[in-house]
Amino acid sequence: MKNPSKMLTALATFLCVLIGPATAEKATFMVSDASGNPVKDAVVMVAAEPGAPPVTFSWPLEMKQENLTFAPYVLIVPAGADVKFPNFDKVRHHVYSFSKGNKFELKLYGKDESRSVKLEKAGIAAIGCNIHDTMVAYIRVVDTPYAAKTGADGKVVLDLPTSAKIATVWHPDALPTETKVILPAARTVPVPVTLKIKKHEH
Amino acid sequence: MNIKRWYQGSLRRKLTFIYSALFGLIILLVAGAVYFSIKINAERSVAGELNSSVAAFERLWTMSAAHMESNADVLAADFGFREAVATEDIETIASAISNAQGRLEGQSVGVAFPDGRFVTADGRETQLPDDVYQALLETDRPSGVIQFEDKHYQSVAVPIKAPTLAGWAFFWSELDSVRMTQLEQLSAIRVTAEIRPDDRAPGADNSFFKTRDAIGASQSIQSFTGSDTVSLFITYPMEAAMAPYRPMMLAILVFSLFGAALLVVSGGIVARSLTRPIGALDRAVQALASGSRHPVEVTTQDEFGRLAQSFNSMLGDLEAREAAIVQMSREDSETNLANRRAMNDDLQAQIAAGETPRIAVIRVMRFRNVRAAIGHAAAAQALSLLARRISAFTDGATPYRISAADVGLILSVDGPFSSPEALRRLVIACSQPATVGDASVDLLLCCGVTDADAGRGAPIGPIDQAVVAADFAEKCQNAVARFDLKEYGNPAATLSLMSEMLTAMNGSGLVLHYQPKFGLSENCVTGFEALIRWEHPERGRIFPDDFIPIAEETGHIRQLTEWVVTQAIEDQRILKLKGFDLPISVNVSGRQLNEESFALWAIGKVKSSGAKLCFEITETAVINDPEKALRIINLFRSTGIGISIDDYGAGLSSLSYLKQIPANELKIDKSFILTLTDGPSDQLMIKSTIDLAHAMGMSVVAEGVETEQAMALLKVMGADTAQGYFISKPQPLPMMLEFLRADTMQRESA
Repeated sequence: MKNPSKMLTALATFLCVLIGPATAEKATFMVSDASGNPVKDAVVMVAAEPGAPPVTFSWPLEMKQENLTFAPYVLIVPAGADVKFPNFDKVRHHVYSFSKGNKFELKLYGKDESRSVKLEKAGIAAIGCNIHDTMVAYIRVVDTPYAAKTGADGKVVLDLPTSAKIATVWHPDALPTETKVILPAARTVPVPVTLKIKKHEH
Repeated sequence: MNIKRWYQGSLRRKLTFIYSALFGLIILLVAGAVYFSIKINAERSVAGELNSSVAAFERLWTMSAAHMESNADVLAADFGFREAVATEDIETIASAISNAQGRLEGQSVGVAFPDGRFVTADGRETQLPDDVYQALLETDRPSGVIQFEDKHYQSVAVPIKAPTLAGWAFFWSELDSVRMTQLEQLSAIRVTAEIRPDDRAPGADNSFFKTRDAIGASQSIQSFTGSDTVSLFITYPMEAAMAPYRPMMLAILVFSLFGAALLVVSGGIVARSLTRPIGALDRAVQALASGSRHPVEVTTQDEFGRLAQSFNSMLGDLEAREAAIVQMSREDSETNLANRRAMNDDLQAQIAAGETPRIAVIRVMRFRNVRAAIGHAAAAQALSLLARRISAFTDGATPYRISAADVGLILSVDGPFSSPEALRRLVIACSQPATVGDASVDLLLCCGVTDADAGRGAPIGPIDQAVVAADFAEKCQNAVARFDLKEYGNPAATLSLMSEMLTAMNGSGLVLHYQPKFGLSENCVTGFEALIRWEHPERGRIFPDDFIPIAEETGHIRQLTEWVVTQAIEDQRILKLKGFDLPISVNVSGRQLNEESFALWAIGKVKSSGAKLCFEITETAVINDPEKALRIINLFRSTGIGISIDDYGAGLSSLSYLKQIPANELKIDKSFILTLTDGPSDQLMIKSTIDLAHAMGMSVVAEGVETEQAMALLKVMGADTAQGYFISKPQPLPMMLEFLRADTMQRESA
């Protein structure tokens, strides 16, 4: 097992699901752009209230560098988590972020090397490579367990407490980047979200 | 318009002027053409230069923009710089900027944040102007000119990515005079470069423009914000463009002026040489016109020479013809003898030479009859013959034919032929018959003579005097007669007398006096005879005998008679008003009896006024044209005008006329009445005349009754009326009125 912590988190989540109150509900979000096309990598968040379960996610907290690109384009990590930056490329990368509160720099490291950075502040870290100007990715540091991003179909499902009223949809290329969505009382129908996406600067 | 006359008066001036004007015009045209072609050329070459300047500027602009952009890129790529910008580390940013600025000459650097804040090398933060900010947002890498506080800056902006847009790196450099000077120096010609706002219509790219004294090109410059229009203006003063050609144009001007002066002078010389012969000819003609004859000098073989020759030969012809004319004027055309003019000229010449010749005129008496008999040609021949004879007799004195019948001679006073005796002999000698053709013609001669100085002060010249003398000789049938001034009188004065008479008619010089005709049986005045009296202001009283015959000769009698008739009618009217309705008799001359117009006029006058008039005529009055005269007399009678035969017994009498003339009164001439008391024979004659007249139906008036005795006798003899001094002398109307009143009163009281 590569990630014992991952295992633990999964277990904890399971337990929470088992013992958790029946007040959690699944909500589906459909994010599309102005033309109706599905929008990928849109982060949907709902603020956590006190008594919310701890912030853990099922996906690995790493930002890969392969094929001179960051993967994934958008990564959601909990605040204070260690994020890994493995380099799978033949060339070296100089990864950096100057985003407020999450400023870091990983000077030139090569293939099969990995570094990790602790991102303390909830917010957005724009990640870039000093050598390769085209490499851009975003890490959304959240302090709520209710956060997930849309897939290629623009859909995302979140377990939300019934008391949740407002969801925030964030996409790095949206204009504006953040949009607030009011959650309907009934969660049966997917919540449609329309974002204006400006042209990708990749 | 003196100039016009000055110009037109001389061919030489005209030619010179025309040549000069023409040349001047040509020079002007050439100079103008040269000037304009130079100007166009200069402009074109300047335009070419400007073009290349503008192109150079464009190149420079692009290069400098690219340079700035690459500088900006270098800065924007710098990791440390990016970090500073992304983290908004103002201090580091400012120091990096100033560092960059230090490296780059003339370029300034700034950083703009995505929110529009702008940081400069001094660390100050300002806000970007709105339009610049908009440009940054809209355009990827904006580049162009920014206008800020009246200055212009070439600017570029490149985005700073870390890794997303963290801001813009701003590079600019002022388009100051240094830049402009650099640009100006690139040009081969000294241009002035200036960047300023361009308010012309868009699309005025790279266009040429001309101001009053410069030529230029403009190029619009890309604006940073895309809104302002700013252009580069490169101008070149025309003065400078034309400057290199100025020496050339000056040279042209100088040479033109010089050439013109040369032409005026040479033109004048040529013109003068051309016109000199014309001038000579002109002068000769002018001289000819004023009377003097000068042949023209022939100097050339050309047209002028030929003209001069023609002129000279014409002059010769003229002289010959003039001589011929003069000759002809001195000749009588019929006989080729010298004529009157010749005689006059020769006489004047002799008088002028101080001589006093004697002038004789030999007249062929009754020449007209001779000429009518034998014809003009023969008569002329006869006269020629006579002239030769006279000349031969006087030892070759020149005979002058001064009129058809007169031959004149100028003789010297002391000569053998000038005495009256000698002239008499001449007349006799030359009176021999002349043989003309086959016939023989009798020549009856007389001679009039005068001295050249004798008649000085006479109204006529010596030749005329001699002619008058010849008239006198002819009249008196003498062989020789001398000119007598007294005899001649003063015909001129006579003529003036006539005009004075006319004046007197209009004025008060002429007046009618009336002599009453006393009816012997009625024992009162039965009528009047109107008689003219003339009081001349200078000559005093002029008697009718002194002017009436002259008036009859000159024809003024008509006017006189009309005046008398008019006056008599008027006076009769006055008399009638005063109560005396009596007929008036007016003397009418023979001439009026031949004028129908007078007759009609008189009749008209009498009819319209209703006057009672009587015309007194003499028997001889009808002699001239009896038929016409009798017709007119009858006309008078038919209108009630009385006819009275005046002066019966004196002069010619013709019983046949007496019979024909329808007179109603006969006036016995006073010569008979005056001698009435002398003896029985006179009385008998008068008695028989009275009886004769009565027998013919005429009443009798006796003129010249001066004694009571005579009047008594006449009454006994049966005369009807008496007129004379015994009754009254002719008096003016007012006095005659008095006489009548007195007479009437006397009779009434008796």
